[in-house]
Amino acid sequence: MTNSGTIAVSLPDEIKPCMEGTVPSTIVTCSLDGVPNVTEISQVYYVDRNHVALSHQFFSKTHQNVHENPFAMAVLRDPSTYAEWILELQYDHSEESGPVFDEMDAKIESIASMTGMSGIFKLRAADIYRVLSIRKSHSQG
Amino acid sequence: MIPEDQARFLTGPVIAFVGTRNGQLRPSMAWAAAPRANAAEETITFILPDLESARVKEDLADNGLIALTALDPLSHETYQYKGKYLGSRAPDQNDKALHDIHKAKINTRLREGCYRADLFDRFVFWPGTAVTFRVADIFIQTPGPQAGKRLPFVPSVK
Repeated sequence: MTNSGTIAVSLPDEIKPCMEGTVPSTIVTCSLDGVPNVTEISQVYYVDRNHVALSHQFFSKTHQNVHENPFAMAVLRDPSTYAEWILELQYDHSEESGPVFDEMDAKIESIASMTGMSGIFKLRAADIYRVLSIRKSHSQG
Repeated sequence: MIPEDQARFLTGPVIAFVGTRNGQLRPSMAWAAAPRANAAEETITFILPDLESARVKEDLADNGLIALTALDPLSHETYQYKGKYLGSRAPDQNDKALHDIHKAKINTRLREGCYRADLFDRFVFWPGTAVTFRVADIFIQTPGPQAGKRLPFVPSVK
């Protein structure tokens, strides 16, 4: 970790509990004409140490925005402490099949059933993002 | 006019975030505490916590475009309010009271969902800055087929 609190782009193991889908994450994107968009998202998925995946469900504005302007910021929350991590992301590509998609699809239905929303969540694509930066938030003082 | 049910929703037990972007279209976000609408003036005012809001403040000064998303953590009813920054001021005692009431409402709401009673107290929203923006659009973001739909709100000032 640097003095500014920024960690190089490699995701640390301690962030993995934030990616279990227990606590929703929040993502902000921006359209090409400069309008920000904030959305709660059920889960951010760990792909590898440099990439995460976000589910493309009905929040098509996020998907639309990152196709126009690939930059995004996501806030992930630890299910035990609610400590937050702030990730700057860059959209890379979307996958509509394959192991990452299948894993996300199964997990989304599992989360939906736990929250009484079974059948409402429908995965359209796994959007893969490169992690540009990551740091712990000081939102808990 | 901001619809009355929207104004009422914002003063309920909602969790809220604001999103902004800088001159290079890089987005940022922060928590938004104690949101409330002035329906007639078509504005929303909220407390932007001092913690973790430096970039959002820079963005507001740079271009003023802002989105605030508010959600009920149990019902998942969610709306997004987009608009233009009008100004900031130091918070007063009324803001502090609204901040305290907002936190208490959320903790009560979360308890109904069997979450920890003090869960929301972990987040530090005070001190902060009172930020006001003019609403231009309201979108449904409740998970489901209506998500993304624009509410029939026509601002009097564009």
